[in-house]
Amino acid sequence: MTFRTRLFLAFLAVLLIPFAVLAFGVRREVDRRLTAEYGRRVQALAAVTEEDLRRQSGDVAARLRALRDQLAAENRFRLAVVQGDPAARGWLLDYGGEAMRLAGLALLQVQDSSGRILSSGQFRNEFDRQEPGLPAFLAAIPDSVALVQARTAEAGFLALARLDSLRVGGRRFTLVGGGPLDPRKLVRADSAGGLGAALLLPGVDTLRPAAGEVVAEVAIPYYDLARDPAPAADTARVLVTQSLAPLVTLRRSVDAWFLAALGLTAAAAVLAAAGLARRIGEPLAELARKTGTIDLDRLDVDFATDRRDEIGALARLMGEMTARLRQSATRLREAERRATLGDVARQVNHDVKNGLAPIRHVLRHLTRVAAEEPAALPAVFEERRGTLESSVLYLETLARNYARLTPPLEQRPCDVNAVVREVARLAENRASIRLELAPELPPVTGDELAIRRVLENLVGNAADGLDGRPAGTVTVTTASARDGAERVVRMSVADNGRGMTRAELDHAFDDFYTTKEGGTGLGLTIVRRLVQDLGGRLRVETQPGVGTRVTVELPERNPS
Amino acid sequence: MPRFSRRGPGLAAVFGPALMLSWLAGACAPTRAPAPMPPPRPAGAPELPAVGPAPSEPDECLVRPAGPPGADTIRVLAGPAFASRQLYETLIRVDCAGRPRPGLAQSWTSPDGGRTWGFVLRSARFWDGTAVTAEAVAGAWTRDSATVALLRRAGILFVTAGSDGELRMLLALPRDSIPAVLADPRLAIGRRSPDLAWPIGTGAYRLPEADPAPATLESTDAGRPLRLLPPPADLRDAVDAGADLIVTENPAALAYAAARTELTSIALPWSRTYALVLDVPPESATVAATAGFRESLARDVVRVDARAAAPATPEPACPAPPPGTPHPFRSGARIAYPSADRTARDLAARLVAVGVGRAIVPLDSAALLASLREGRETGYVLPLPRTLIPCDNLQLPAGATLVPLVETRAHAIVRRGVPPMTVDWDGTLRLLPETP
Repeated sequence: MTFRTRLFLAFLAVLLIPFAVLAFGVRREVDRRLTAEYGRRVQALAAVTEEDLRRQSGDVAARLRALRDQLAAENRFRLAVVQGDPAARGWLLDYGGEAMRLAGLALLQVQDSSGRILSSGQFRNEFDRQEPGLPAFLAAIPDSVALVQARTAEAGFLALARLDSLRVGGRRFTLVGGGPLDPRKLVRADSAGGLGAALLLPGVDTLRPAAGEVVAEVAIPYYDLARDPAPAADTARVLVTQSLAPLVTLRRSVDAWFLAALGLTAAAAVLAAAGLARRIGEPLAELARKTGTIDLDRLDVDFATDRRDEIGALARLMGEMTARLRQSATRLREAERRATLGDVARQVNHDVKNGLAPIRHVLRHLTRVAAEEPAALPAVFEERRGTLESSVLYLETLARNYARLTPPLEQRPCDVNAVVREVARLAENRASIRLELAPELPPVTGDELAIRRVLENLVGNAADGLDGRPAGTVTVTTASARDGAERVVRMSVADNGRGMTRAELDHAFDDFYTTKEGGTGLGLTIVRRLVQDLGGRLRVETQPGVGTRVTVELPERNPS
Repeated sequence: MPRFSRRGPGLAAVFGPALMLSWLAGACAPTRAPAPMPPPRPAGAPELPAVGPAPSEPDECLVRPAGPPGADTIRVLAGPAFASRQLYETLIRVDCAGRPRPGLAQSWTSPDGGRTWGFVLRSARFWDGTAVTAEAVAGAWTRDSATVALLRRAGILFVTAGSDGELRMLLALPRDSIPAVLADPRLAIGRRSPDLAWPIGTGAYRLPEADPAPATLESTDAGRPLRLLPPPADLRDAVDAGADLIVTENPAALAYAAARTELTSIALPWSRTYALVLDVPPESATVAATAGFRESLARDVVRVDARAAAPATPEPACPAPPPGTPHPFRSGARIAYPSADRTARDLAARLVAVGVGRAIVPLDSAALLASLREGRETGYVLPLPRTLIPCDNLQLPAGATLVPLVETRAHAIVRRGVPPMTVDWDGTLRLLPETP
């Protein structure tokens, strides 16, 4: 798993868990509070409805009392019901309608003790119908108030009915009166807020509250005069409901906001992870890559950085470690060279002895012949000359072979600018050479021949990298610089040739790796070894199609 | 002999729809008759002499309110039938007692027991001075298709003018009630003029020629003009405004007039029958078909002057209704009635109260007729005007039954000093010339 992925998952975990806990808590609290509020609203509306019914009932009762008192004093009523006067009967038939309108009622029936309708306000011509059930029902229920489904000749209607009675001529008469009941006014509700109310009549309305709705009921005795074939008594209900739709909407809104916040957080986590990965992971990966290239032959890796943080410190530490390794490797290589010289000396001693031994034997033989048989000396010499010549040839070969071994580097002050000029002069026929030499460049302590070989290789490679471009130029610069606490002389050879790819650069210091036809693949290897032997550092900067710059930094004073 | 032809509208076309709409709109003023007049004979069966003129006998249908003459104009609040009766005459009049009396025809005879009839016209002139001739009468009738249909329903096949100036008629079957049939206002005589919107009549009053919507009728014999008042919202306002003659059923207006000494009320003949139309035989409409129920309706339910209607008498001689697809009335249990007719509403409501229906539904005149034709409702309460023409009843859907419920009549509130009037069989008043 990559560092970036780990960072992203860590950010998500750190942010997601608190967010989830917050969302759950907010949802739960919203549910609890709104449900409680809904319950209060429903109960309040139910209470208002009950109070409304009580008020209307009291209003109807007061009007019925007034009608009762007026009717008891009305002589025409007495004439009609006691004396059977036809003219008074005609008056009585119309009494219900007129009295109902004057009293502001919607229902008015005058019945005799048998339940026969003597006069009806809402339905004038229903006189003489037997309808004893309604007064009996009203008399039997508490408060004598009920919801009545009454009817006119045209249609049915609802009325909140009450009962009153009077006695005339020793006979009892009942007054059934009712106020108009508009279900829409009875169940005033805030439909926009999800608060609803419905008047449910038995056998007519089958509304059932939806699942989860907050419900309250107000029961009202109910009498259906229009029921066919016979009136029926039952209970009507005012069902007050609070829809949970607003709560669901609120939940969705909260969820949407939390999801939006979560999305933004995830995006921020991704960006932060990417930024941190770029700030931390990539330098570490580069550091690891550079570290991976270090070996005894490649101790010139550049860990230079401008970062002031821990990664910068680590890079500098790695650079210092590499520098120490480089010095140690130089010393080790010197020790190794010295050890190797000892071996060579012993081998030379052995080989010379081996080469001298036949000569010594021939000389001893010739000496003895000269002493004992001088006359035979020329013959013996001729006989043994081949041995002498063979041994001398062997020794010459041996000397020539040893002469090929790398001589030890000299440690003398060396003028780098002079070496540069000499190398440039010899390479003028290969490329356009431009020199940018620092005046008063301090000398370095080292082997002039090694420095010359380094420059010859670098200038030669640069000239080859121009690929014959007409505007190709090899620029050699020298400068005095500071590397940490150390003063160095910096030489750089730059060309504007074809440059190198990353892969080419990665293999540029491998033995026998070359991109040139006929190349040995040892040039940069020798250069790097010589630079290391000189205690310096080598850095290559290249870009395909732009060119290559190789910088060599040699200490002004060789530590060795 | 000229045959019936259809060349133009006549008075039947002009006044027929008005009469139909008027009976459907209905008079809505309830009243109790202060002085009921003798009931007329049942419609369709008048006992009329086969030979005229009518005997001269005391005219009990004459109204002569005593008092000094009133204002220069006689102000009248009555229906269009009243105005028509002042403007146009029929060949025969039938008075409130059902007796035929001379109209434009001064005498009539039937030589063959009622199959052919001859009418001798009196010397009368239209308002423009043109003489009323048998040819003019026959021509006026035969120009109008509605009149032709009316005559045919009465059984009259041909109408022609004799060489002796007599108007002759040929019937399909002998019928001695033909003189009464000719008293129908739809058979009043008028002559159309291309310059006038209304036919020219022979009545004691005429329409001003320049007024396209006349509200005043001019006397043709130097009498006071008649001013036709628009109906007010409250009829008592017309009483207070000094109306001389008001025809109404409104009980409040009648009671108010009774309290005024300068006014008198006269009960007019029973002129309208309210009937229930059902799609069941009358014996099935148990409650509505009983005499006791009808009496209860007249006494307690209807708030105008009413009496129980006589049971329907079948008219087997009438032609069957045109064939159609019988369809049962719908079972919505609603009783429909003319929306402007309070009496019809009261009757329908009572029918609902006793269980004949479950609700009432008001319909305007056109909707009511359309609904009746298609049988959309369970029952219909309809006001039917009185007619002297046999088989002139409302055409009912196939299978429907008509149950008469109550008969009603209007009253005339008359200011003392108005000219004498006669009352015709249908309750219409005719002003007589004022004595100089």
